[in-house]
Amino acid sequence: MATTLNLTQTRSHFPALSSGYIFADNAGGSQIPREVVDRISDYLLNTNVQINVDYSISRQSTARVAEGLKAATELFNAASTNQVVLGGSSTANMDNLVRRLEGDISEGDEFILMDGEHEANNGTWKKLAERTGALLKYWHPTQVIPSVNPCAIVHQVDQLLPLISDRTRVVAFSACSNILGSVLPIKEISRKVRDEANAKGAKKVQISVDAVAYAPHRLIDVQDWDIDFCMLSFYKVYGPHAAALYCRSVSRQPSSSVAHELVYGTTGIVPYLLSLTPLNNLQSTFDAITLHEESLLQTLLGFLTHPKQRKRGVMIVGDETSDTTRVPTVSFVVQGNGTGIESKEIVKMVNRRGGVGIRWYNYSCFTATGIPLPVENGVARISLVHYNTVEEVHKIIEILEDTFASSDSNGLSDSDSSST
Amino acid sequence: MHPLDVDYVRSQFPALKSGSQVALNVADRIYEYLLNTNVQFGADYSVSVESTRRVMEEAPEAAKKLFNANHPDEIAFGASSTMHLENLARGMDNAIQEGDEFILTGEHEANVGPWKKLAARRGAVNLLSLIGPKTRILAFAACSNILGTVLPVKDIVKAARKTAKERGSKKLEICVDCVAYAPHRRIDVNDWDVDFCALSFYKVYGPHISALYIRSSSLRESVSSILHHFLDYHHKSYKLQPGGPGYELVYGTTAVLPYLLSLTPENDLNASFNAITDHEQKLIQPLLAFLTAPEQIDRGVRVVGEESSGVSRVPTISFVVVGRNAMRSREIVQTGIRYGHFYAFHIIDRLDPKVDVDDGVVRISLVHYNTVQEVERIIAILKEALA
Repeated sequence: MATTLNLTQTRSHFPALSSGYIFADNAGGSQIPREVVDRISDYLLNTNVQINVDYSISRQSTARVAEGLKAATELFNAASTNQVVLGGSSTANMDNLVRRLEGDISEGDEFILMDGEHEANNGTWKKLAERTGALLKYWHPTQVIPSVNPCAIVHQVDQLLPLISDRTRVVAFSACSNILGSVLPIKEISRKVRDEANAKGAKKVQISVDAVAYAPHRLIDVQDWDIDFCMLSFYKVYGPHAAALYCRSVSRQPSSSVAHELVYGTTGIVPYLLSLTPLNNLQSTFDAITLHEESLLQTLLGFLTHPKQRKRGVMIVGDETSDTTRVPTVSFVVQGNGTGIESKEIVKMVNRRGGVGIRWYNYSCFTATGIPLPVENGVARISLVHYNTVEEVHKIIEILEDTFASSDSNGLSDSDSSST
Repeated sequence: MHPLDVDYVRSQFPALKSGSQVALNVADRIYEYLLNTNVQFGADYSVSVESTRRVMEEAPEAAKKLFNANHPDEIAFGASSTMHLENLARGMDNAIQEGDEFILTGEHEANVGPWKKLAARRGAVNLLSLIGPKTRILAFAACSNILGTVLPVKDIVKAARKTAKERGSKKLEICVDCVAYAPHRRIDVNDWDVDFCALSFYKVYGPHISALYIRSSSLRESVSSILHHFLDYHHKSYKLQPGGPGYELVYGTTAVLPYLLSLTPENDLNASFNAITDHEQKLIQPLLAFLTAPEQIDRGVRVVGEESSGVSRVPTISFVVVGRNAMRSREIVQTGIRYGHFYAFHIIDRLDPKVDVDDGVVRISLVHYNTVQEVERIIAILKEALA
């Protein structure tokens, strides 16, 4: 039974939250607790010297940077700090990684990517494929309730396994999509992929998981998952703008540049997370987070999937269920002949109210049946984390109600029409 | 010329109370950014508008002034100069033909390695030789992080371009590494007529981030984007910033310019760097005088770099101890000074008499917030170490 989060105590770590502003674009970057920022300041003002030199302040700064590497290793639950690289961004980390892998890829090797997912993962593998003559295959999401909501899509393993062949070399996917919000069963996927690859005679398969949008919500365990690469961006996990990459075994670890003061800042993240329950372990923390997130989701999804909103043309882009397989990253569109609202416009109207921030994104993919997702002008996205409250969700809902109502009566245009 | 008020200077650096250091305002800005405007850019809600403005407008504008560039779009931010120059070279794959020649001067690896790799990828040739009809890239450091001598960049560039033109070179792009130069002297990419210029903020009283200047024409003609394919930043240095820059640190850099301007009442970078240059001479003179005194020469002390002070020397002073009672550099080092090759591998490797490249030189590197009293203390410590 998960402990309940003490929201007041949780929020008190974040000065940004004291203004009452509703931060609802956390998938674009979360807020940062004071203890993390204090460490960055402390580093810059007191131990800001070149590392690895044999004098006292340098020994201190060196130790602090090493602590950062340990913190990332802990967040991944990696076996060794040798398997973890810190860098300025996941994009840069991945770019450096794939350059190291070039020699190990043959023409005709196959990479399986997730359709529609973030470029930090997809883009780097695509560029590697271009340079080496490897082929790309895409894992498409399934429409789970097509007659009710054609945009309710989830990636399912049964669409992934048939893509595996004897030439499969890399399978790269997101643990949780920054648009769709579904948490995938990584351990199960990894096992099934490897079994299938073995059965079909693939010589070497490496699995790369993008945990960037996953990490703020759930516990990472690269060992339990049995994966080869995993990327994480600290600025989405209550940290500064730095990133970490897990590489199970690479002959020469990719190198990357990252500011020491930010690395030291990241050492404040795990202590913050541990403080969220009296049990002082990450699993309990993420269980409490999951429980709280469910309450946010139930409220928000309850509104967006209500018959009244369905009639209005509101469609969730992603899974409609509000259980623990979903995080409170909720994307939606409002469609209808002449009554739809462009996602950009929805966001504008909401943000114009002041005191709240959400955003919109271009998103497109092909579903498993081969048809393009019926979304033409991107999606509006509300992305919450554990320091958001149910009250905030109610406020957002009020604003959405007004937004849907006012544009309905004004007949605001939208060229999106539903596919059916 | 206004002299430096050293007490004021030192008051800006909390770390100096106890013993490089980051100016108070830089740390304050990073702190304040993270606690108040730490959201993703480009969205139209107020906090995002402010964070975007701070990082995408205020910071490039300030950096533009530090470089004396023409336009903020000519500035890219990145985690380090090493990564920047590597990314620049990767972005130039399509601008280099087989047989093109690169002239590199064997300074810090950041401005050597990426060009060598680019040359290897494109079949260009790396020559430490004369400029010729196939010369395409010239890359050098404005000030060596070992030797401490400031080069006459403007004159070098002028001569190089003239010679290149005379000898039929079709296109010559020049990349200047200003990392070791920037803490001491003013950069002026416009006056120098260079195409690329690298600067690491953590050496200029700022956080661990770097800025790369790319001349607009080079940005358009020679440098391809290394970003995700759907991002269109063709005319902006942003195209060399994969993953984007670390926002809070970029915002932190906006305090560097005001700090430098505050050094004299004239509120002018030339005046500031004149005051810095003048103060630095006061640090260099006693140190060099000590290291080149007959007693030290007898002892086997050899300065690696110019032995005389003067405005073309900065207080980056390296030396070795050779001869009958030679000392390994690592034995001499204590007190916040260092030994080694400092990543300027080729210079150390080519010293005559030969030194062990892993032992390298001892380097004392001072800036304008160091004092003459500190130099006297260093000299006293060196005397003990050499005895």
